[in-house]
Amino acid sequence: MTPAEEKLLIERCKQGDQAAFDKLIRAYERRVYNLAYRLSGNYDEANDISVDAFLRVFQAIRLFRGDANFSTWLFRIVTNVYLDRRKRMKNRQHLSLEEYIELEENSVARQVEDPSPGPQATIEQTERWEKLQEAINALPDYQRAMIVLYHTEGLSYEEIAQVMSLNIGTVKSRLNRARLLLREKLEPIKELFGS
Amino acid sequence: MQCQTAQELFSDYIAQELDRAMTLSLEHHLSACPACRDEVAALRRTWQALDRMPRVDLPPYFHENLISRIVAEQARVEQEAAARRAAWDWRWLFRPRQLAFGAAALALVLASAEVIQTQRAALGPVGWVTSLFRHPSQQPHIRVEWAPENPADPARRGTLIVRWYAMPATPDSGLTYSVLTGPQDTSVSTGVLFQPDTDARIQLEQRPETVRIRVTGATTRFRREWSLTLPKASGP
Repeated sequence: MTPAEEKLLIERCKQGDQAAFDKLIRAYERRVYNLAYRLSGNYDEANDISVDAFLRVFQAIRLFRGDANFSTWLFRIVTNVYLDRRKRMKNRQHLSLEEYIELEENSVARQVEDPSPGPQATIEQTERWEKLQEAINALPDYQRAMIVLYHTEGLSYEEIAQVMSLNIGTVKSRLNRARLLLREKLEPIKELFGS
Repeated sequence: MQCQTAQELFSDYIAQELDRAMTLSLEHHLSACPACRDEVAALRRTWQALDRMPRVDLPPYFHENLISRIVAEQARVEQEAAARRAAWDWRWLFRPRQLAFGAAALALVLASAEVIQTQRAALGPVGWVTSLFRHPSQQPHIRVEWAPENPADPARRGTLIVRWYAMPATPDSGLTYSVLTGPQDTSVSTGVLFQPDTDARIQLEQRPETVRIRVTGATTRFRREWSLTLPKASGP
């Protein structure tokens, strides 16, 4: 979708066009869900965060003025939903690495998209991503948000500054500290990352 | 360069965002500090791993569930808006405009009640009820005429003719009808002169410019007065 098409779609959403909103959701739902998953480290919570975020978008789309990119505005909402939930659920921990989803007749392990071939490579990579996600989960909430926005969503420092209402200098220094802390947490399993 | 200062530059160094002078300074420190060198290498691997994190699939029916939640939310918002529109907000009553309107309406109701009470007293219960159904031409009204004795000189001596239409008779009604013709109310004829649908004739020396008809209640505070301009002279 080009920026002009997206702008038109957003205008239709503001008019209450449900078909346009459906299309806008389809364009962003996977990124939103991934961001929510990387932030929360939990599939069910990622689902709840995504739904809450899109509901907030639906309620507030008329207030979107287009000063920032829609994606930046959307990620800000997702991040805020995550941080709000963290504040409320401070004492609840979801650190299980094996997540299952229920289907009608049986339960299956959720699959992580992985383009590399070979069962051994798949096992090693799956373990690597799980450990990395586990290390991300152990970061303080704001550092976790910065790491995810920069590395998995590819936002620039400026966009992260907009999402988190901080100046760029603060974003850069905090992100550097977050990376160093993450590296420290990965030190015991550094062999997984090719040391 | 101290290790702590060097650490603050690691991210910018890996992202190649340091200027040349700072890069050379940091690399000079790294060449002499194995701990920082190892730290940079580990950080670079972490960075690369983060950048390669795979995307996860959406759960089954994610989109459908999300849309149904949004549709439900839209219905809830519309329902709440409708409920708010229909809700009675008692504070609305105490706004200045509403208070002023309420006071005016109350005064009108009280005045109307006074008039109705007087009319009922004057007409009696049956008379008052039947009066409500009368044709407008049959509603109570008064007509005055001036009949000079000498048509050639209409301003001098003549007869003032007053006729009630559908008015209750005195004194049974408890009302007193007075006809005031002089500037200082010097010429007063009491209500005993008048009978329903009959003329009251008052001999006057001069044709009055205006005639005032006053009706007062015997037992209530009712008092009404109309000022009528006489039409041109007519025959007696």
